[in-house]
Amino acid sequence: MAGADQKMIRLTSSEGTEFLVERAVVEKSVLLKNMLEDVGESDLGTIANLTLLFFFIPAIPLANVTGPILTKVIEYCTHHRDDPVVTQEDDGRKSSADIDDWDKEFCKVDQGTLFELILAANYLDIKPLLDLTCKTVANMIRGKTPEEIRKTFNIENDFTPEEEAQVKKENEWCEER
Amino acid sequence: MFILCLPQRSRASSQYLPKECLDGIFINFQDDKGTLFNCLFVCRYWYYAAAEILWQRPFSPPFRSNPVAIWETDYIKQSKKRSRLIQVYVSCLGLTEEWRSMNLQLEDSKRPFFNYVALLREFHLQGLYNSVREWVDYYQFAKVMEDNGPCKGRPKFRCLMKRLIVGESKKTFRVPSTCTDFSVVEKVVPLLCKKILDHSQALRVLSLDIDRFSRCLELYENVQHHIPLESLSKITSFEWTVNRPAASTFVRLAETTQNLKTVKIWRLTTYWSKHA
Repeated sequence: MAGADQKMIRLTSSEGTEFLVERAVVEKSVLLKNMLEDVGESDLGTIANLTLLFFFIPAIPLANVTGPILTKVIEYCTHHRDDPVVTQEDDGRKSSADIDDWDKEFCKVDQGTLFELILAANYLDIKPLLDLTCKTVANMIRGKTPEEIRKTFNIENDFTPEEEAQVKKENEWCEER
Repeated sequence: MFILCLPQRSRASSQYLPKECLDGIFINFQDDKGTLFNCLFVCRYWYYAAAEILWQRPFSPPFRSNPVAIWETDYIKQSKKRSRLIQVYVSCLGLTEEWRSMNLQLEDSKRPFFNYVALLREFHLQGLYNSVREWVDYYQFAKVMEDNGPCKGRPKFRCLMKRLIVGESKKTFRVPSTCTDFSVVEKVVPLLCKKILDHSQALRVLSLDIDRFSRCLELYENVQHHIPLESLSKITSFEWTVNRPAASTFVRLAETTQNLKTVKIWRLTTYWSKHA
């Protein structure tokens, strides 16, 4: 558990569930990290006695992240808390094969949860989680026909047959056979 | 305290993912055009995201520069696709009238579903040259085929293919490089190049690099005077083959671009410059 001098942050999910999370874990989110930096040290309590100071720790309400999703996000950030920060520069080439076992297990959730995770990662600005979840969805798409993709993700086809034919014709050059 | 609020969504679905999330998914298919192609037809929303990646660099390497060395079936297939690409570009650039006046083949002049030219991020002159050449070759194939007699209701292209694959002589049919109608290539490439540069506001890579075996070098020399550098403010890489680079071009380039990282300049060999 947290050391005595470990700063804790309270996060509140959309339904009002509170999560007490170490600052180092919270800072995996660029959004929250920047926010905490803006607030500055003075406003945030250093926790010595958890029960006593609990109510003095400022809470950050996350209005569009639900409790279960926030639990998953915190689980991810805790597991990856010591990972080096990936800079914009060196993420140029991505391959979708290299997902490690823990991450793979982490992504074994239903589709709704997966999309909620993408939204949360995007909103909280947690790049590695966003990459992971996007990669997982990409793997679900790969090799499927348009009809299969629509079925998988429950998407309605809003092209008219004429439009579809036109799009097909115009994009013929990039079709791989 | 902070209230971090975005419009609440009851249920997340791929259809309502913000565009940047869909982009994040599709970026994994950058080298997988087949999958991206399938994504185009899923729904309109996906179509725009997928087209954005597919049309980023239609003229980029690797180039299949020497048709003579390529098996004929591959080359015809390839050139058929390229002819489609050129046609789409012609309609997007509003060149249908010019095309007609030059008496060039244009299958249909229907307005394109999307202005694909606006999606161009990397432009390689060599790639355009090759594409135009393949397009020209494709119509020559079509003509050759027509001269070879009727094809009883079968689509002409497939008929030719069949003839070539299982043809009586079983000889491999190759495209002699001399059979390309270069007069068309010479007319079309500079025109397209100029129009494309005029219409591309968001180019990242511009390569006016050409292989010295390409025809109509003097026309390329001419093209350089028409680069609308002012509209190339987002460019990061610039390659150029030129005989006498004009200093003013660089001054303009330096003034307009902020993100430029690479500049490569190639000089044509003396022989070819004399020839040109």
